[in-house]
Amino acid sequence: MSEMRQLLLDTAVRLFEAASEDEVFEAVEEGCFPESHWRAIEDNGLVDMLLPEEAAGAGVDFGDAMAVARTAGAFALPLPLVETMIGRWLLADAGLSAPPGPLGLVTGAGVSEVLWPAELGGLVIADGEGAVGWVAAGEVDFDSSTNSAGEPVGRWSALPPIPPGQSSSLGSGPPASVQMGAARSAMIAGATERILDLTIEHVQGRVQFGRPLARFQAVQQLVAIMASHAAVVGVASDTAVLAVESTHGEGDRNAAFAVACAKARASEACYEVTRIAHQLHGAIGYTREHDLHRFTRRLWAWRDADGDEGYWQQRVGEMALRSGGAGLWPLLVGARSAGLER
Amino acid sequence: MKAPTVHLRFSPAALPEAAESLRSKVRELLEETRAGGVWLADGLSWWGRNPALSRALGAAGFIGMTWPRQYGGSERSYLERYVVTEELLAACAPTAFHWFADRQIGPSILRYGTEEQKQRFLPPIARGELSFAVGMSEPDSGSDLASIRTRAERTDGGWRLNGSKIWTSYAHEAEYCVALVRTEPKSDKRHAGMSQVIVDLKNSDGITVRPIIDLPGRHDFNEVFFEDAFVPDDCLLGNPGDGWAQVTSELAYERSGSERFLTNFHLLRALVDALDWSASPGAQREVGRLVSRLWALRAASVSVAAALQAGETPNVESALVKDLGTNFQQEVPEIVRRVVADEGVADEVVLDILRQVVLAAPSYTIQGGATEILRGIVARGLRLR
Repeated sequence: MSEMRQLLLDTAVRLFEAASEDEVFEAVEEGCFPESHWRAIEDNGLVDMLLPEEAAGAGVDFGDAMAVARTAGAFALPLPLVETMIGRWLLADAGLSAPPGPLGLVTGAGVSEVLWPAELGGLVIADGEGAVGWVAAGEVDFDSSTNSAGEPVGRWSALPPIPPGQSSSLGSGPPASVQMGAARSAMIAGATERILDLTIEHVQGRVQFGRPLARFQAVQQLVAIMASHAAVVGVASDTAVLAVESTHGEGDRNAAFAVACAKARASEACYEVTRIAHQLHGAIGYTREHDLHRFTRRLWAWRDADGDEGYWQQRVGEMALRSGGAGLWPLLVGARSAGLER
Repeated sequence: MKAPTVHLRFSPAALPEAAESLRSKVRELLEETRAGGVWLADGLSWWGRNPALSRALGAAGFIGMTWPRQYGGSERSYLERYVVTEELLAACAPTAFHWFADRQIGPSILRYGTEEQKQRFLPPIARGELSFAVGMSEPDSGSDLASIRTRAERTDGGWRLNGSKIWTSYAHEAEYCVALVRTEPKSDKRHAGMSQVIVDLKNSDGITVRPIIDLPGRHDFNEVFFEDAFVPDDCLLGNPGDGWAQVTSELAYERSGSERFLTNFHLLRALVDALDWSASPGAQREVGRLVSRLWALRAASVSVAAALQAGETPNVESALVKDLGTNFQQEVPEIVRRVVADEGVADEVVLDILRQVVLAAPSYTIQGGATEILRGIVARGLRLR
């Protein structure tokens, strides 16, 4: 791990740990925005870390930013950090200035709700062909609700037109849906890693029939299945990030394909991971007294966010069918070898 | 709440340019030999056995790739070998003639063999001329391999073998078999007293090979009986008593390879060929589901390959990849079956492969470590047992 990434993650862990106190989550369930924690995240430069240094950002790699997203998942961060971070980067890349405060981000991957609608400075709209823009959140007629994690969300029936001067053609970077797909996969990977950790701790400590649950073969087999899903979701997310980082021009298909596969796999795994975690935790896991629910409820929200598994599976299926049988293997092993096919 | 503990290490890895550049060479060789009638993709995938293709691959330097040049290898990296094997699998090339020797026997001989054994066996393996079978399981020892009873007793100039091995694929055709045997009686130490011996199947007395027809109706399984079969001293592999450690040290290589999720890739490819862009959204999702899972499995497998290349022994990670990979392979025909029915696919190529794959599927989660055993290994890696 680079020194830069280590530094960034140390900061992220410190901030996210503070934001994962019981009082914060209780307040979130009541609909109260954890303002001070959001400000700490802003003040430490996390929302602008992708921006180049001359634009007052930290100029970190996409991979570094995604490592932060994964850490956010591991702490069940109840804040729209990745949306804001990627939204601000998209606007800057298109030469637009961003409104202050947290952002919602509407991509082409069927996004139909945003977190914390009443707190947002704006909604970044990057769901069209080649254009990005933003509207002030106050201009949007939100239909308010909560997601399965108990976080406030806003939906809309129609978005207002983007005012002149607040839209432009997209910059040269990967599409918003690809970046958000990668970020959401990373968050799912982080939360999954946490759930595995909580489950191992529980089965090692909980004694029934005179021995720890971990001593029962039936329990061991279930944990092994969960660990397999956690491992594959993690490595798939990391590998997709590598594909996005090595994107240049022609490589676009490779990054889009990798992220589509990673988010499809991550969303699909949420069922098995949460099912086994709750099965092994027993009744205590089905309460608000144990931490497990913070993570499983977010997995149920995040598997649908930024395109659910059905959406991404269909994208992958389309790409596979377009490649045809002979092109399927080159598609799977990446753009460089696809080049050899031509 | 602290950062979660990382329980399993899967670092993402990209294959180096040197490895990627081998792809086109493998594809060219396969294209030429197929056009030349050397082989055809008969649906058996790597389980098919074709000495002519193995010789062609050997001549091109694609067998024993990681071994020293003095023993016929080409001193390539493990990741370069990874690319070659996955290309062979993706093309559905029949490689069982050299597969076991290339994957595990050769590396064992290289690591534990005498100088004389390395010079005698490795070059012809690398040329694709010498075929090996693997003799591990016995009629009463499947998953519980440490309970084997075949014994080798000291005699003048060598060892005398008595007992039997089972599920020994291609023992009726291979020249040699490496067998795990007891060289000392059973003791309290379950894993002690075992050794590996190289058995000449063609030129030894006291060896009987009984064919076992498998579920799809093919003959590759055998039961091999040893009745006072003689193994000369120079065919003991490694030190007497080290057999268990030798066998288990190769497991990461045996388990994490792409044959654990690409064995029926030809079925998926045929399905993609039979469908077109106008396939229903449901069919597109099913194809996408299989392809995304395959992509993710490969990412995990490449990560293990990179760890092996770095000199690590990712036995737990390998067991995990094998478990997920073989379960995926087992699900492929079931999903294809439904898509084919829903979309009214009448393409005989898909239907024919589907029929074969359904029959082969039960074997995936048994050979090379049964699912339950692999999950036990993962559980031990997580310190649950």
